[in-house]
Amino acid sequence: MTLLPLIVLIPLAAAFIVALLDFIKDDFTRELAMDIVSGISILSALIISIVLFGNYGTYAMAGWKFPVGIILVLDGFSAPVLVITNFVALMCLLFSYDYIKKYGAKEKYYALFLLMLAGMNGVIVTGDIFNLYVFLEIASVASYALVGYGTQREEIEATFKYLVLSSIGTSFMLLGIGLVYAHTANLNMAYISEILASSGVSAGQAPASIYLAAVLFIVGFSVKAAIVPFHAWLPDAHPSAPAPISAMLSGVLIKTIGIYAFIRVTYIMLGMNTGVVPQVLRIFGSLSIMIGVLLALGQWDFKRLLAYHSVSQMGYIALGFGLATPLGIIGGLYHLLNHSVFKSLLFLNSGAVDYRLNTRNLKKMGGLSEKMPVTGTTSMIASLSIAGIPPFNGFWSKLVIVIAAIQAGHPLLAIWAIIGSILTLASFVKVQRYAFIGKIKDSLKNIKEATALMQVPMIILALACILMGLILVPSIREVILDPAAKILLDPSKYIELVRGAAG
Amino acid sequence: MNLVTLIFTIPLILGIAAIFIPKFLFKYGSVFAGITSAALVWAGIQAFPYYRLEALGRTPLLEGGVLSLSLIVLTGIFGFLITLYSIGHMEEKSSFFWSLFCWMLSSSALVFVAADIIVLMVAWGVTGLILALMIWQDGNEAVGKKTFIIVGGSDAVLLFGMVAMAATAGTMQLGEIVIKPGAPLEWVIFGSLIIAAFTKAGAMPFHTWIPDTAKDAAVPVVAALPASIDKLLGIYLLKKIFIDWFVFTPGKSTLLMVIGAFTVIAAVFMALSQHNLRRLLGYHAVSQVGYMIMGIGTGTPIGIAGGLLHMVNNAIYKQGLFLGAGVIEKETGTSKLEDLGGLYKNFPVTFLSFTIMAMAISGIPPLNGFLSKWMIYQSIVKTSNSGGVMWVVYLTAAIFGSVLTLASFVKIIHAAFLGQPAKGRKTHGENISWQVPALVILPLACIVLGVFPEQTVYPLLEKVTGPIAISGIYKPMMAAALLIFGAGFALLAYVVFKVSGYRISEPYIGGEKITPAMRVSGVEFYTTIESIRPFKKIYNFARKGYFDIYELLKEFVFYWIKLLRWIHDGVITTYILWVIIGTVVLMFGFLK
Repeated sequence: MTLLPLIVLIPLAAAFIVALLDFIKDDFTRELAMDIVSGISILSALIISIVLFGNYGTYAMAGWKFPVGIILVLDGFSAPVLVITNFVALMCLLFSYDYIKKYGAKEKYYALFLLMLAGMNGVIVTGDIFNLYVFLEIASVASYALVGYGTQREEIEATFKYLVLSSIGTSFMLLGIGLVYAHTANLNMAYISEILASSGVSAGQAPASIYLAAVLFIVGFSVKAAIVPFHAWLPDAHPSAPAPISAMLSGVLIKTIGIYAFIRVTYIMLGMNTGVVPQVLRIFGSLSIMIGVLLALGQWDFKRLLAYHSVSQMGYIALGFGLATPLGIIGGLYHLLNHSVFKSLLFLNSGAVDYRLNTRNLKKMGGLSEKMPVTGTTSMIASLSIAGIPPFNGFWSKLVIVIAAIQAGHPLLAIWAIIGSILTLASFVKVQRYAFIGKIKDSLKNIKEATALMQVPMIILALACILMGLILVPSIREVILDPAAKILLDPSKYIELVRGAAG
Repeated sequence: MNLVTLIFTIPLILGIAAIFIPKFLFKYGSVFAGITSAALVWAGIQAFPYYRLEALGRTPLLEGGVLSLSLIVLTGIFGFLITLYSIGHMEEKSSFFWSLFCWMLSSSALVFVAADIIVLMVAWGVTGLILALMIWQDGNEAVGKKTFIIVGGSDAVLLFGMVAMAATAGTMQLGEIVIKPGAPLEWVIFGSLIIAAFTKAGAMPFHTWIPDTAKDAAVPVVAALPASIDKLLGIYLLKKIFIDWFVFTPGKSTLLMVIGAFTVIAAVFMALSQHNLRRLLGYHAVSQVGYMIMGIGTGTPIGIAGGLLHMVNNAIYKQGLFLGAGVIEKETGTSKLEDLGGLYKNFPVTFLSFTIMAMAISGIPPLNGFLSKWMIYQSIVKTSNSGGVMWVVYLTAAIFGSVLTLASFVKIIHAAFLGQPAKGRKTHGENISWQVPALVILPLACIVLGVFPEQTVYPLLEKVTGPIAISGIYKPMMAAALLIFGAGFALLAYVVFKVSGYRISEPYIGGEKITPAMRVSGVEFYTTIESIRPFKKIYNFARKGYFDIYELLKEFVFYWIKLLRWIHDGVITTYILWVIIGTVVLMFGFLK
């Protein structure tokens, strides 16, 4: 468990080191040094997250004991999210090595990238609500800067919208934390959960301020998770960022500081895993599924289309968690993991196309598979995954969500999800048809495949799309998905974990 | 070797291996497809003496009786014939085609033997995916898009139906599922399942991908999937749904009969007006499905047997017709009927083969198409016992559809093979090599199944449906004997009475010289049908896509998109307003 703080510290320290490496005069050496430092730091974070997997426990920062100090916790819910976050981050970083050259100012880019990752890792492992808020702001501020990284007019506009709406969300969160703190006089999530459980939150007997806090948390985290009607910033912000950052934002950021933190705070800290909160998730989730996919269908901008699909897919994840049955939570978490992989892959594909063609307009593409076979094939795999075509990973998680919806007695939600899935298919068939399939356009005869360093992460992610279906094999599922369901449906297990390890 | 090895592992590995065959060795990839086909046939044949799949080693996920086994064998045979045909027909291209081919056969076979809803759904979905990839591989972006959206969409509907059915029945094992009338969600489940079956088989109104695919995709792809294996898949599923999983009710039966009758008539009318050989065949691929649905919809043993037999028959001749059309198209470079004509001299083998199969599809005795239609007519008449007059409508539709089928095939035979050659058409001879087995075996099968059903298909069908009581005096062998006798008699008369004093003369048209421009292409006559009053409007609507469910839904969806885009105006104050509204709504939810 002594490794646990390193997962935050390594990227955090590397962020500052990379920024300092700017002193090296020689261009080649400087870039190489920065590539190596950032690469090694994320790789080690990934390795730590894998080594720690299944090894649930806590780490008390600076030796301050529970419930006074800040405690880092690794439980069944955080472990899989931690692995996928660092995995996707590593892939995006690999892709950035060549891609970001056209933007320049690599040291700032890497520093922000690492800072964002440190923030996300912090949000995932922290056991303290205020600490969660701080890490969330670290990740958010880094992402504001990264969205506007190109400093073009529309990029600045997008980041401004993102900044304003996000700030509304985060101020709501802070207010919520204040209200909870006023009632419990503590910031440790396990401890708060204990107090609230004894004051009868689920029975509706807790003071109104707690329910107000719940509303504030829901709004705050929903803004971050881009769930309808709090999604409006996303379709502007995600396409404006450089492609690997879009992949990070859509792939993991909206999940870790969005839906993950949402579920962590409402289900576990407030103990509201029945009743209104799941209902809200179901309703907003269903709205997201449909509104996101409909807007995506009308898009001709490749990245904007993908961004709208992020809204839609977040709806599936929210729906899964909102069913609040073991199977529903398994489905939601599983879809979260899968979506991280295929959506980041799709954004990397769009980046590879943009890198060679300098356009995001689908109408200006055509038959790209002929000249860019790796990009074409991997984008096909990712498209089939997100559209829920067997045997790719997206099919399996949607299947679990549909089964869970019907078992939980919501057949209408299942039908709704199916309709969303058909429209998703339609939208990605359109992408394939206009961008990749068929004879190449005459004007594009001279384009080349993306560089080798950009191909590698795409291939790895595509393989993950194919192999992640295996997670559903019972013996693997028991290790990866089931613990999360147990802990989310019974917060006392979380309290036990925190108490037991910390004495 | 056990079943899983034969129909899953071997095709999977061969398919992966085929990816790495370089382009210039494309034709040798056919060996992989051939082995896969053989594996399927071998698996079926090994288990056949026992009539159960379990004879090959029991797995909880796979099971199957006579029907499943027969369909696997058939799929293998079709796969083999089309593989051979492809060697002769296809130009060099990416060997990924063979990978898809192996996986297509494997996934189809898995559908037939699935014992678990998950296996069925995955295998079913993969067949749809492969169809789309195969169409796309030839660069038909638009057709592939439409096909994939319709077929893939129906797969998603199937997913819902299957999961809901499993929840209602309380089991995932397909063999144990029974949905009683009045069960929760009964009609929703039934509806979603038959949507999937209809889309795959191509019944109306989910058929619109078939004519497009038939016109533009590569001929082996069309012959393999929409023409034959997709029919097997769709009707197999329909039989499972209607007979095995759901309890027969008159309401469901009526639904199927009405859709079946409508499909037969509407599709054959569309076929009549086509000018493209492959598109015309595509509409027949839709029309014939109506018969199968009607047969199964009666719920009587003879009807089910007739429906299943028609499925097999149709797969045989429709596949053969497309392959024949492929030979013509490869040589002449077109499948527009106006540009063909007089091909019988240059294409003797294709002509003979095509004509026999055209007769079979038109329901001319003693060929197989007549036999299965005859069984279906009988089953429709039998439903009159339960009262009602609708059976008259169904029967009229069925018989009328058959007549129109004949009419449209007369049109093809005349326009393509007889008549005068179109101006400027290249007059290469028939160039067939590897195509021969398919062009010979398929029409032979039409004859054998039609004349010797007692020795071939009846025993198998009775194992599936129970005893088939065929009434009436139609005896296939006797009918065949009479026909042969009649033909022989005519020939004899011809020889005896020395009808030799004939002469061949040029047509006389008022002293004008006949130029190719005056040629009657065989298409014109049918254009009159299009100008008859009610039909004119209907054809016009059809051309505008008013009957295309794909276009209709597209309109509907884009209406909503327009609305949503209007409220996403990009102004930040609007977006903040939404956040506030959302917050207020939540407050009401929590603090009421």
